[in-house]
Amino acid sequence: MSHQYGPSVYGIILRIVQNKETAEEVLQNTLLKVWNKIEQYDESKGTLFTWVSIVARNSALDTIRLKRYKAFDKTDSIEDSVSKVQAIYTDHSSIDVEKITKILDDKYKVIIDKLYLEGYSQSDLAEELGIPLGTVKTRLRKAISLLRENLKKDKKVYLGVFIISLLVWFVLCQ
Amino acid sequence: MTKNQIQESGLLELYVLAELAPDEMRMIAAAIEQYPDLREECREIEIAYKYYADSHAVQPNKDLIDKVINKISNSNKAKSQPIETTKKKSFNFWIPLFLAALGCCLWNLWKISNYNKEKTSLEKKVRDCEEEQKATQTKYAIYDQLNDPNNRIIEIEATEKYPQTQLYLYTNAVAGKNYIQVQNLPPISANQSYQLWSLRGDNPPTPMDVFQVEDNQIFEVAYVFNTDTYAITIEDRGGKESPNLENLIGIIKVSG
Repeated sequence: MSHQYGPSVYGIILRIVQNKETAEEVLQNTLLKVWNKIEQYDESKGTLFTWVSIVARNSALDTIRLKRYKAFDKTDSIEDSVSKVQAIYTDHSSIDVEKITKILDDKYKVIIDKLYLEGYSQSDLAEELGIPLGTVKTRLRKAISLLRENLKKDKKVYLGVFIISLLVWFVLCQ
Repeated sequence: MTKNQIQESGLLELYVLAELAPDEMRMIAAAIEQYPDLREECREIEIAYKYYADSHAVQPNKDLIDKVINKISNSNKAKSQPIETTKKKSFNFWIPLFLAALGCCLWNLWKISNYNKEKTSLEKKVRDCEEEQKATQTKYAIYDQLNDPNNRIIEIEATEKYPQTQLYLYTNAVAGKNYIQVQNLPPISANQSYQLWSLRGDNPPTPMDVFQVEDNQIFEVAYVFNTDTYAITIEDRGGKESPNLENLIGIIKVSG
């Protein structure tokens, strides 16, 4: 599980805490929490990954709140934080991120980024973006729909390639 | 709220992240219990979130993962099974996809196999029809010959041993052809045959056609010029060079 989900969960944590050392600490705590409370996981309520990602997000948010409280004298500006996170993310620039950017307009991407990857509440996000709460929900739904459509297309392509490969193999075997 | 209203509201997308107020969480949970397809939609939403998370994945320090695994295995030796097997795995769309593709492949193989069987069966039928057509053409050719006005039709003179024998010889001296029409011949065993002989003057009998036929058949036999009489005997299978007169079925006089 650690190897399978680790990078994705770490990605979420890193977006929230914006610091590699802290993110590693949170990831470690998250995996230990998951291990110790695995009995609480109810598969009828959702996938294991969703549960792990919620635990990770809450752990990250708790950590960042605690650190902010303790470090009033921290002098990083918002711009510093943003550039720091961008620097972290350029380490793993992947085709997937580019693909997501093509699938989602910025107005949808910002909603899912903030809600899912950065731990915003829907009301905080509505306030920050200056849009009604209903619009946050509508845009989130649209963003997820676009991702689902894209996943279906990917599945069809993979299935098509797989079937064509089988047919070619079958013809060659004749 | 109706099912459609729930689907359109965007609440499911927040529900799977546990981002709703407690009363909304309860309301959606109840709706999912009532409408099972909402549960399926939640699964798809979760897959979409995972897809998004995977696309933003960052590889943590490898030592970190190993450290966590060591920590877990040291502190939880009582738990004999690894985490992955304590709970069922999340939905993996590759499994049904693979099974579907495998199913398609097997279905195609089955269809191709059936097609090949059907093809073989039809080819056999075509061959049978061709053989039947040839046999029919041969019969028509024989019937044409039998209707020739130059034919003489001579009935066999059966011996006392085989009085039930009925057989006709269609002989045509102009065309030099002979046909035999069998109506009733004495039964023979599997290792025996009927044999036709040509008798000319004082010459010894000349062996001719050897045949094993059923009743009511017409077939061509050799024509021997200057034959006075044809005789038919029962011989060992394959025929003999000289006739066994004890098994003489009858004679057909063609001279005079």
